[in-house]
Amino acid sequence: MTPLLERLKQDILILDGSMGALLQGRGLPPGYAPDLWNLERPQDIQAVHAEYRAAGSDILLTNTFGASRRRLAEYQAEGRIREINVAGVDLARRAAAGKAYVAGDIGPFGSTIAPFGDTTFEEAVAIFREQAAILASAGVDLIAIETMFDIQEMRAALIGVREGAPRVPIMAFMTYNADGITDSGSDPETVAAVLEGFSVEIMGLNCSVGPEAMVPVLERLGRATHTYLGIEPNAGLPIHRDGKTVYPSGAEEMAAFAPAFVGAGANIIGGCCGTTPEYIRLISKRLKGTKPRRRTPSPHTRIASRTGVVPIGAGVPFVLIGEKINPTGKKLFSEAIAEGRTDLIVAEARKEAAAGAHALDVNVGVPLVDEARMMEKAVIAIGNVVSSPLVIDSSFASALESGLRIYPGRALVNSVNAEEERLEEVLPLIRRYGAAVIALLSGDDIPEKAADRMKNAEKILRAAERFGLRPEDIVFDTLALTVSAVQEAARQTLETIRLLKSEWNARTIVGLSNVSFGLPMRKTVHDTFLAMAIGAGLDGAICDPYDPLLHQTVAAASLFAGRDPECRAFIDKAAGWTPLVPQAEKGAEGTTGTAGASASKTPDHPLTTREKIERAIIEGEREAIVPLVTQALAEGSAPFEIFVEQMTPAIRKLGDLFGARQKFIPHLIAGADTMKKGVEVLQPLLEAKGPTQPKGTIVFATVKGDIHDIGKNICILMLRNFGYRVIDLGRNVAIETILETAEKEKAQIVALSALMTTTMIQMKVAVDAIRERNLPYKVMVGGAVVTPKFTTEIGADGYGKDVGEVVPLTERILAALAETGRVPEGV
Amino acid sequence: MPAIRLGHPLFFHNIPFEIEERQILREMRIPKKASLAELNEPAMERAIGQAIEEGYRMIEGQGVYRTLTITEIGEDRVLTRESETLFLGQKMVKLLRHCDYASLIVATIGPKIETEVDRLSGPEPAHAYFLERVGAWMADYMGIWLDRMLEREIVRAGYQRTYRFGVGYGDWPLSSQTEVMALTEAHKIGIALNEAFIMIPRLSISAVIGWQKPGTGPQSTPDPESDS
Repeated sequence: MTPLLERLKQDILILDGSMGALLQGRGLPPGYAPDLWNLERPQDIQAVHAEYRAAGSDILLTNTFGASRRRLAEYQAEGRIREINVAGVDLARRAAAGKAYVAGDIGPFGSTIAPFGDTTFEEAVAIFREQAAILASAGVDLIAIETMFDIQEMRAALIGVREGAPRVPIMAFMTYNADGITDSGSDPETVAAVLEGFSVEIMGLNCSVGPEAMVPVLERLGRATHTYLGIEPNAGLPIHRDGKTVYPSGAEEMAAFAPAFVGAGANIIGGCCGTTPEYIRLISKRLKGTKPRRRTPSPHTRIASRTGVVPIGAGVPFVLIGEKINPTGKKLFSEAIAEGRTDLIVAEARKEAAAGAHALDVNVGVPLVDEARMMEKAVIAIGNVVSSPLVIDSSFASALESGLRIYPGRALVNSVNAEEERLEEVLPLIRRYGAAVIALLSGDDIPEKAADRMKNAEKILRAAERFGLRPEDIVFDTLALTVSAVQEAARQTLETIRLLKSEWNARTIVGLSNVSFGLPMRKTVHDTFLAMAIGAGLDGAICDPYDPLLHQTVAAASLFAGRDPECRAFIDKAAGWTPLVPQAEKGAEGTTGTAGASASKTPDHPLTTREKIERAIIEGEREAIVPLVTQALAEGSAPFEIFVEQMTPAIRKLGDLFGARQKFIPHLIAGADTMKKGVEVLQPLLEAKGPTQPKGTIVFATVKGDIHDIGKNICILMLRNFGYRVIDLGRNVAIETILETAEKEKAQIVALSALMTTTMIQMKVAVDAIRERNLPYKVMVGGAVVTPKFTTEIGADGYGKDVGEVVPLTERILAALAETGRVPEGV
Repeated sequence: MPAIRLGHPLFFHNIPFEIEERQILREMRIPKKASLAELNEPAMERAIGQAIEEGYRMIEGQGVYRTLTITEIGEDRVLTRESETLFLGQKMVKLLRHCDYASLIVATIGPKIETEVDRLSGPEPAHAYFLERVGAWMADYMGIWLDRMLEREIVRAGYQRTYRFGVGYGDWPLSSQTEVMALTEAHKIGIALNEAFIMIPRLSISAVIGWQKPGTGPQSTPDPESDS
């Protein structure tokens, strides 16, 4: 037979359909592994293959979807892995009878893979490698990796298959949900970028949804890649009915979509769950004589995270790679890395992404630190919180590999140069993990002239080819040298960019910060260089994304470099910029904010210190209160006056605003905390004048068995701010401890908090104990599960719905107590 | 044919996440604001924003789900192949009576936020409160993430999902947590129970979702944010 990849140049090939449904019709019990029938019922397997061949299938998928070691272990059949897979190939080959290709079918290995799951990446690779090797030795024409939900598992499968079956073409299908995204969050463009990095021969989609939902996904794949495409829809979304799973789309309906698949770029079309030979027959008939659509390769290098892709090259937006995740010269950052912490790395990553970096360079090199381990942690932590692709940056191949292994996307590696040793060490990793690489045009030395840098570029390209890489896998760093030290060499950088672009249409970046080293006005220098480099064809830069001038320079230069059609991006961005020089635009005023914004007004009169204290408490300005209280004291206000006549009215006013639903619980809490900080300044001064009489004493606890206390703590804060003495017993507190403390502290009120229906009963126990022992304490209760009805039922004296009610409730209880010696119901 | 994953729990570590300002404001019961900027209160914006940034640094989202096979719907319990004592009570009977399978889900954001909240509670109660609210929402978030992952599996197998029902709600005894933890092997994601059956770390969720035969039972409006 003509080799498969040759056939695909001319023809559309038809895959087969579902195996499981047909085997169930032949008696396969529900939940039983179909793969086992390769040995137990070979005649049935061969017969199904033959049916599909007769229906027009050009490619038969072996009955080995679940025949990896771990999947077979679920049926205690892992010891027969070789037999089962070889038999699967043999049966398909017999049915093919020389008229169809045989694709070794590999499905998911049955669990989740790191960073999500417990199975390590290398364990998963080994599982796929083993099965692929067996299938290849049995003589398959290609390997089909199907029904992958997670791009990271697909990566492991691709590496395993390449290593186990090195000369066999790969067809790699992901499964997308109805929204066009995989289970682990990848869209078709991202998947295309990652799979292209592995040079898969055919990519596509199968299972999960029916043909109509698949067309848009296939169209997106078709626009994102020029690789051959395949598609295997289900016969619609399944419905479980009368103990069986049924699929609603008929064969005619499915076949009607076949032309749309071809229009979207499909080269291989088949069916998945619910389809039968009839479906295949009609698809084959519908497409008879149809030729595949040709698609044009993209000239870009594309890097990807799990959920987003960034192209690098001509005609697409200039790529800013944030350089700030780097411990060099940063003491705190280095210490965090030395301690194995990722908090500062995460914070910087979020900040860079928010500042507009399209990708993030990740360098965790600190002396004596296990850089490989730290790189893995950093890559995982960053990937959890930002969707930007990563540039994995290290001098050590072990750290590069550690990052590449765990990274569920297509990374850019920083870097190689023209030195043989570095090329030998790093390029195999690029190949294995499907990455792209930054290639510095230095070798044993740093060439001054552009022509010499081009020689290094050629050397790197030849080495890349030896390791099976393509030109699109390389982004050249043309070496932005320090202009103050080697002025001509810096100019040659621009020439190198021009040559790489004009002669090879290669992708180029620079590390920007070097160029201005040693000069004043560094930002002006390197941003001017950047504009000139963009004019010469530069595609990206490793740079400081926090520099607003840099963003403006890039946007403006992009207008002249074919990277901003119709100037749309520039116009959108310019609305939020600060003009660097007066722009003389009509209506533009001031120097900040949007054009036309008015300057801030000065107040009619400056606020008094008293007014500022009130504002600080109402607005929760915790940083402002201490200086303001200090100011008030300096102005001659007495401590007691500040507390009673300034701060207390402010917190009461805040409470009134809360009652009027103009402020909310967070405002109450922030205000109370602000007042607490102010009171802490006054406390020693108040105490110096002698002990003050608290307004009342309250013992406060979360009941036994309950460990929630945030609400309780806020209530205590409020009460103390209002001059009450509160003994905080914490959480999970026994009744006896509460009562003993109340007696010792001569409390008037016992306050109880509970957040669970199973613990609130302890409130009744407390009330009963107090009543039975004739103790004088009043009980107030609160918490998310407590209600007024419950409060009445257990005989408590008061109920507080939330933190806003605790002070008024306390005041009412104590007022009633003072008046009558008892608390009426409904307080 | 997509197989239903039975027989063992499925773990998820390093769950990616985003902390939405809108959700945090909702968690704090501040109505009608979609972002911190809409508050127009710089101090509050800073304080809540700080808590959110700290959340990003401290959250370590993990989860697990395990699907059980329902064998019988009793009068006061639902029996499964894996346990006859797990799904007790009328609420469970009502939830699962048209289901062939039931999946337990357990999720957590890890201990760092609550450790910090405990540390801040005395000296910085407002900061503690804001951070605790971030943690409370994000624990729910992890549950919702798992819920959505599981829902896709349910739909692919031809079923409809029921709503998510939390352990200890209604008449489903909180003591069932012990079996939930054992069946899901939740200790592998760092969750334990205290003597009151409360999960530690506290910022964790546990629940069940049923696999309902299509066209049976109430039309389930998947509201993953509802626990009853």
